Amino acid sequence: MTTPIEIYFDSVVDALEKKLKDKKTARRLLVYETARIGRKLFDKKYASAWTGVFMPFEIFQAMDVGAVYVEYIGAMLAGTGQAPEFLRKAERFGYSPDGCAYHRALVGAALDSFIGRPELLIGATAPCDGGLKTILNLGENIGLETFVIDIPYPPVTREKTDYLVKQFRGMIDYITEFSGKKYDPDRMKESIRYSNEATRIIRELYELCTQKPAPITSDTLKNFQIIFALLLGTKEGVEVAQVFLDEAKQHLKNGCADLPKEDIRLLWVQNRIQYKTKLIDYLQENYNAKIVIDELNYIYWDDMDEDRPLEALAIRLISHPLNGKVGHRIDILKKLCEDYAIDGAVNPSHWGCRQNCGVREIIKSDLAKIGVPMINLDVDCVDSRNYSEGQLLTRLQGFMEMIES
Amino acid sequence: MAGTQFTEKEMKKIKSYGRPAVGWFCTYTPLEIFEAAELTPVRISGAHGPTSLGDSLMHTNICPFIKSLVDEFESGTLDFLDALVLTNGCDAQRRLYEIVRSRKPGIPVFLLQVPKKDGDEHIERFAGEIDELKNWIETTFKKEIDDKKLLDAMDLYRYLRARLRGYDGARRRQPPKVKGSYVMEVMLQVLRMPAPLALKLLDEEESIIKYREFPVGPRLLLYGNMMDDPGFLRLVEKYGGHVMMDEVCPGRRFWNIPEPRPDKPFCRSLARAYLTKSPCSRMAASKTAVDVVKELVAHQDPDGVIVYTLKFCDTHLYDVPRLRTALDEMNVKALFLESDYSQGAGQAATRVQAFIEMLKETRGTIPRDNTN
Repeated sequence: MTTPIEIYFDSVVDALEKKLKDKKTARRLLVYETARIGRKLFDKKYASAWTGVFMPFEIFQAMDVGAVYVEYIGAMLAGTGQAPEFLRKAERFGYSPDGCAYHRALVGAALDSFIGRPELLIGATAPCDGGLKTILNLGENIGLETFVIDIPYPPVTREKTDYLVKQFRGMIDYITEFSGKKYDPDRMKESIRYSNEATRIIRELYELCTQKPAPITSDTLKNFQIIFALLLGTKEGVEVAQVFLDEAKQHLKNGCADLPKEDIRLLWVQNRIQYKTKLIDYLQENYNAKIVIDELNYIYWDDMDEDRPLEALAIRLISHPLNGKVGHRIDILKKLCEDYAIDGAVNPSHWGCRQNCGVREIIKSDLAKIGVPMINLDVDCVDSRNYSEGQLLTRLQGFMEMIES
Repeated sequence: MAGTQFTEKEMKKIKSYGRPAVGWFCTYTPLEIFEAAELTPVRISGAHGPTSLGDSLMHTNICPFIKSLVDEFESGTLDFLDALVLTNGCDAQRRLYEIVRSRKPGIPVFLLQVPKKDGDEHIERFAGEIDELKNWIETTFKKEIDDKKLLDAMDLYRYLRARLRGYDGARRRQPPKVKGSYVMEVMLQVLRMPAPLALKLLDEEESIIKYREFPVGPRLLLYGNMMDDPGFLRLVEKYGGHVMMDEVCPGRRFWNIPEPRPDKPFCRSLARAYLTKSPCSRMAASKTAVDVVKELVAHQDPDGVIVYTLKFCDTHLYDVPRLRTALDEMNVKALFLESDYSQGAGQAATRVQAFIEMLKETRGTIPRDNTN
């Protein structure tokens, strides 16, 4: 049976294929290629997997696993305005409305048979409790065995790396057992090569954004790296990264004359609001304030060793800034503030995100020590039902006036 | 009897033990390490009242138990602690670690990483973590924990847990020898004293309950997380119910641990025991929390189940729909309560009363003896 999400991915791919023939833009290509990944969920050539967000996606590419993380689907449902319907469904079924809406939207969609049934479910213990419980719940609800990766906290040690590598091997066996897909070391090397190539290009792109003005709009790199994770290890990922870089270079060549003016440089903390709002336009139009860097758009790892791919991926996962204690994350936020000459930071404080909300005051206080004010908004980034634009605009107005003064 | 807040008297009592006091509350904390270093394990908990600083320093949507602890730290109530051991049991606890570190630099704090699975590699990994905790305690308190001390401590806790199991069984006798609320009060005391003194306390309590008997109404299983309010159990008793068993953190989840094998390395024995104990909902282990409830219902045949969950506890709240379905399928009546920890038992009074009345009408009082 064809599920609505399959139809959605097909329609996005078809529509963008035509548009890309007319004009290839970076955002179009990113959405197109990630929708093609989504389509793999329903393509018999691939094994289908729903996963957590902290995953070694390169392994999936090397094993022909079409994998999307559950938050991606939650964000997509919010972006298309369908999230409230599925959130209501999950709540009617007994899921608490206080939980993360990225996860609940997916649970509701699964209960509604909107997204079909994967062959594989792979969760991880980071970055949050809710993400893992979602995967475990889905497994129990649809009667599918799950695989869980237990990610130790930084700092990286030999023992922790070996621990994670052993689990990756277990995951590979799980994939083979439940989908028949085999691990091929040569394809794994190739996947790592593509991943390295793409991340080198992205590093260069981010480097360009340290310039004043940054050769992007506030939305050019919205959700960029978090979506790009799905393309890590693919040839298409390299192409997408290159098109983003080329666009940024083109803007710089024109002196960014074709971009909105930039007087105030903002850092966006954690994830964006996934449904349509006027906040970003308001900041741009009234204060020439531009988001020049998102916290989640940061390549925190070095090139990976293709001869030791699992080890390299283990190190990457352990070192993730959202994994473990907050000190590591704050160091990176401070570095971003300095590298990008940030005037202020915006943290949406996504309702239901305990790991972020629980430290928002510590982050705020530490950034204040280096002279960067941060505003903590109170908003659900996926559930638009209680969204109150007026209140948020008033708070942002006060914040921007404080920065200007 | 102790409540959950720290009174001046209680703090003095803890200090009178003459040992450094180390705060803890997650049941994955291996207290044997504390005992081997001659420390007093002090289960910390919040006041069952409104929180203010917890809300502003964290967020309103954080676990109310954790926010309540933030208030206790901020008010200075917990300044008497000589150290604190937290775990990565949940996101909120992980973030409490950050708050204490930044706001209370005078209290040394350790974050114990507990794997969420129970396979051999996870046990090995946890053993490494326990070993790190042991080293940290040795350094912090300038005490050496040798194999003999650790083995003695393991033996002591094995015995204490066996005694607690026995004491807990007294409420499942027919007629019960002890009320559920009283068991919880004793548990809360036990969790704040050195094991040798806890054993003495149990000796006294057992000699008292030997001659007691209580009439029994509907027999209830209480399932939840940080349920540490004996007042709630008294409320159940007031309306004629009897909590004959619990599966909560300061209860069965603490004492229902397989005996650690006395094999070296001892940290691995402890790791194996703790990772395979009565599981918290956080675990992705071979046995889930929902499996445990189903087993308890099947073995103990309660007249009803009360599922008491704290708000914003993702791991437990995600289990609620499955629990509801499982209990429905077993034809067991259940009351689901979501508490904000702050308002005490009173907020649930009407629902508890109605639930117990309903149980009385549908099943009546059935004499049974389920001591184990």
